Amino acid sequence: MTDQAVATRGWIGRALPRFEDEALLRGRGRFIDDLEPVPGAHHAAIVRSPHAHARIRHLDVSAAEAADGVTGVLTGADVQAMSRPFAAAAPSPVPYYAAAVDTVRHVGEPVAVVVARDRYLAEDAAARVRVDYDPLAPVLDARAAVHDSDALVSERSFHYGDPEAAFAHADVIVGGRFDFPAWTGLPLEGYGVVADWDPGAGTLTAWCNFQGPFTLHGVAAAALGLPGTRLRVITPEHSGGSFGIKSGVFVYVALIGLASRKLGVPVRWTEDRLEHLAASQTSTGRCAEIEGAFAADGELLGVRIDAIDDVGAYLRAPEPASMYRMHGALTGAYRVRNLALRARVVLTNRCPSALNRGFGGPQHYLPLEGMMALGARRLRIDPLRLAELNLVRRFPYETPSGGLYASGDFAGCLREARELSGYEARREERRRARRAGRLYGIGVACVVEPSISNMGYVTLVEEEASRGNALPKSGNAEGATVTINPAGGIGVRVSTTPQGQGHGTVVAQVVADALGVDPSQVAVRADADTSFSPWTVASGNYSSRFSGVGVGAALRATEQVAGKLRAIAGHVLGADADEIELRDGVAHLRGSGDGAETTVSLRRLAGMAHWNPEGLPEGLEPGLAATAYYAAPELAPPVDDRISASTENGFVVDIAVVEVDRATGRLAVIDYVSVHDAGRLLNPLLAEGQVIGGFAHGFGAVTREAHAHGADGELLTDTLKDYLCPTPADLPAVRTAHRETPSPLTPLGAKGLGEGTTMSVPAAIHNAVMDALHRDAPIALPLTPARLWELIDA
Amino acid sequence: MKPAPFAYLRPETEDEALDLLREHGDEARILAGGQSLVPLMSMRRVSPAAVVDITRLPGLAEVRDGQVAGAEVGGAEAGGAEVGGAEVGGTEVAGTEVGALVTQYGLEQRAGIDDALRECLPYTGHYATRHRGTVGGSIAYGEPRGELPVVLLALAGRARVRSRDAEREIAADELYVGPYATTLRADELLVSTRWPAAGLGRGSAFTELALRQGDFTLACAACAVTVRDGAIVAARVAVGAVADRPLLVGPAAEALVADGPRAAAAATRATIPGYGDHHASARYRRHLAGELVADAAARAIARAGGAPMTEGGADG
Repeated sequence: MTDQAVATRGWIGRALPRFEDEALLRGRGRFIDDLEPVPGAHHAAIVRSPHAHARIRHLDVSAAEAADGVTGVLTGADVQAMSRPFAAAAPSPVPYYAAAVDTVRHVGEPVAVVVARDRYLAEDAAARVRVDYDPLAPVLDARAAVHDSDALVSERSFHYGDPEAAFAHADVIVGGRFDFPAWTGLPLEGYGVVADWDPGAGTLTAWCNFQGPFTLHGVAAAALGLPGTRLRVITPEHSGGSFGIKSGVFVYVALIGLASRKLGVPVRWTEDRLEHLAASQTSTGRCAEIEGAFAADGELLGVRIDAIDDVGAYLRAPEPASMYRMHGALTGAYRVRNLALRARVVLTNRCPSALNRGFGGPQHYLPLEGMMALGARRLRIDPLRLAELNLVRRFPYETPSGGLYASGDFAGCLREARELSGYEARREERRRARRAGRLYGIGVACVVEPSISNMGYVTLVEEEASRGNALPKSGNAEGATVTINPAGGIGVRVSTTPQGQGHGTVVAQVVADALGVDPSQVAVRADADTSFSPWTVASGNYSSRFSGVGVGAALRATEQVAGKLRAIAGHVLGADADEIELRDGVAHLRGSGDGAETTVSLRRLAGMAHWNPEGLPEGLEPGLAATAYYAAPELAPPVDDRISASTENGFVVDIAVVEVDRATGRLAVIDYVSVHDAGRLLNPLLAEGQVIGGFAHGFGAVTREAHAHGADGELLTDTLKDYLCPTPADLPAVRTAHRETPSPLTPLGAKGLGEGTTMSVPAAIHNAVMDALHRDAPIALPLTPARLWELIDA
Repeated sequence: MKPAPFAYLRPETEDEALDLLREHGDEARILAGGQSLVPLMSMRRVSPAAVVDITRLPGLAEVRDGQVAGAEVGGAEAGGAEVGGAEVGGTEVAGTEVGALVTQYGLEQRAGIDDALRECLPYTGHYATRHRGTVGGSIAYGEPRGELPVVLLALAGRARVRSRDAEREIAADELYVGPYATTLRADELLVSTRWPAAGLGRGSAFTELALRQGDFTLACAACAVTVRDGAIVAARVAVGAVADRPLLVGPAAEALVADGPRAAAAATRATIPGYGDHHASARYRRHLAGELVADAAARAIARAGGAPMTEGGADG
């Protein structure tokens, strides 16, 4: 790109380093545990279940209450008396309270909260809480749980087109069982809450590192029996990461809030790593069976999926959304019109699940792309060629299940991936390696990456008829406030609660272009305060929604302020507002020189708006601020079980080249190529960071990360010595490329890209390993050396 | 994740430390680098009444090169193997004495240490933990998956320990008796470890496979061999993470001397119990340990100047 082109495009699209990094790199980050928002907070330690499933015969907290420095203890019975069960998106056979009442249902479930002068004393006292458990048999097998009415949360079947006919006419049918175990995002910083109950006002204020507020603020408020205005949630400016996992903080807003309310003191709780691994939140485990019907020429005729989601011990909002998040993109990148889905959701005795980067996507593409790989093998067609044959080519494209792919160039991405990977040379290398007896494989994954969720998709869990009475839902809106102060300083407030994604930098770029200033002059706050920042029921950091609606709201608000600046400038310079151009911190009269008579500085315009309302053009309000909201178009509640579950759909093509060591089963990634089309890239540097980060997250899941339980349900992955996420040194290099097919549905043409590689990497690497080992059936994840060697040796 | 209350004791002299150990006995734990003890205490998986911090003791952070006693490679009765009672090395060989407080990283930076020892150090922990974790701590802790104990066994190294009344040396072969269990008494302090160095005709190597380098290994192996006239005359083979303690594998050493690395691999698999968990089955670990022994043996032989006898024995 030439300098001229950069200048024309302004700040948007530039690889600007993050403004956020300076404070973080200097150790000036202010995380939840650094905050002392109220004086004299007492410290909580949580007594947790060591069992996966047990009845509580007796709970004795008297010794803890009598211990040194102890303020008091909150028990499960208190929680039941003081709150209501958490609501979720479907009725649950088991009520979900913030602490166990008479039965514990997963390792780490809170049983009591001990509050003391400091955390040491709280943990000393917690060790004196006596719990008499009567262990029960744990349910860990989701496939078995579907037969238990106390475990089955929901069961629905969906038919689109004529799958029966497609399978009846197929030349080849392939498929298999693809299970995706629960794993996690493993943020560096765990959960944290400081709760302060004000008995006079009947208000709970909770500072917490939540990634919301979105719907979960309402869920917590309802559980506490508070109107939304009496639960004020405030998030810190800095977050130590989330990857979705921190959506579960709302449970502890309720628990620690109740402790504050019962004991009459502000209470703080910082989750430790043992608590985090056992009981914070995991991804949704999925057991899927899939079948694909193909014609002999490779045309994909139909797909049948039987999916069981394991949401853990309790249905935690927004679950069972994981099952439906991909609903508009169930057919992925392919033109196939015949589709059947059986969707079941069960409870087991594992940690509750909810958001984790990719939310439903990794679990969906492992079987879908695995089926394509098995189909290619059976049909003796190269997998990349088979994908190419079936790709969606005309846009906009409506999927059989109601999704709208508004724009894209799937075939172009595939061609670029083929070229970047050196695909033909890789195939030749594979031939040579195989002749030498080496286990060398190539895997492909084509992934449609949804972004900006339509909150209405969750209602698919209900039968169409029972949806009728509820408020129709299609939420995705975000809000923003832009303010210019009397000295010309520009401040922006959004409630997108970033956990490291650099929202502040991108908002500054967008606002800078709209106001004609340098982005360093724009101060952005993206943390949320549910009483004072602009937000909607959709606000928060999930479903890669920032670059579409977060930026959209900021742009709308800025445009209103810019319009006002132009009106004042026009008034000063004796011209129409539309003759004014904002550039370099100055309002210019278009088509004239830069003399004093034809320009006026932003600072002066701001001064006028604040100091001299009398001098403003007639009808213009004083001050320079605007709050605006933005919702992406083309989203509606479901009709006939069809829904556009997400506003946008980006595209990813990955090609993985691997080798498995015959002697040890060790997996080496020789090359990895990932080509993305996420529409217009607002900041290519941050986009690349998301792609690489998503890769690491998916790579962990496919190679080594999974929560493991013993026969009695005990958690085997309870420390970081046993739960192994890859470090940077463990990651192979990833070669990336981006195409930019602008979105017609977002203000700047961007599509989300935070989750694509987390969805594609497990499928691509799993397919490559199946290829390397000449397998006609899926391999259980994670693909550890031991598991691969057992297959080689068999 | 806060430790239970404990007495923190920080002696300034070795005598003071030894007095404290005698006084507190089993109730005390010694704190050196703290990379195992401190997390275990924070998780309340161990809650000692007293912690004796030895990091201020003088003289324990030194590395000395010189003669180390009684460290010949071989001795079939002690788990090694040799040909026809060959005299290998004698009772005084060149080697390195490593003070208990020398860090894993510090030793890694030291030139001239034995090859197997040098190769194992990067696996003993992550970069950050190796800057604090000590060699003495790793040896005394007796982690069944630890790397340094395996190398100490293969090299026939020794641990020097002191109590208020006496000083003694414990041969590596006599050191480990169970998971995290050693023959050190509660009133004894490990002051240094002695590592024979590779010399003319001698070679050693270490290898391992971990799911993530720096974490607990799936299995690891160390071999030391003596080669004379192109033939192996003595060998020691040790493996880790396949049993409740680091193991010296006598039959593997015998097979190595007789038939080479592949035979040593087969003998390893036939001998060791294996250990299964959610990362890997016992069957896999036995297999892997064999592969690692073969690899370490082949490299040790090459370093000793021997012919690569890799095709000599039965395959695993």
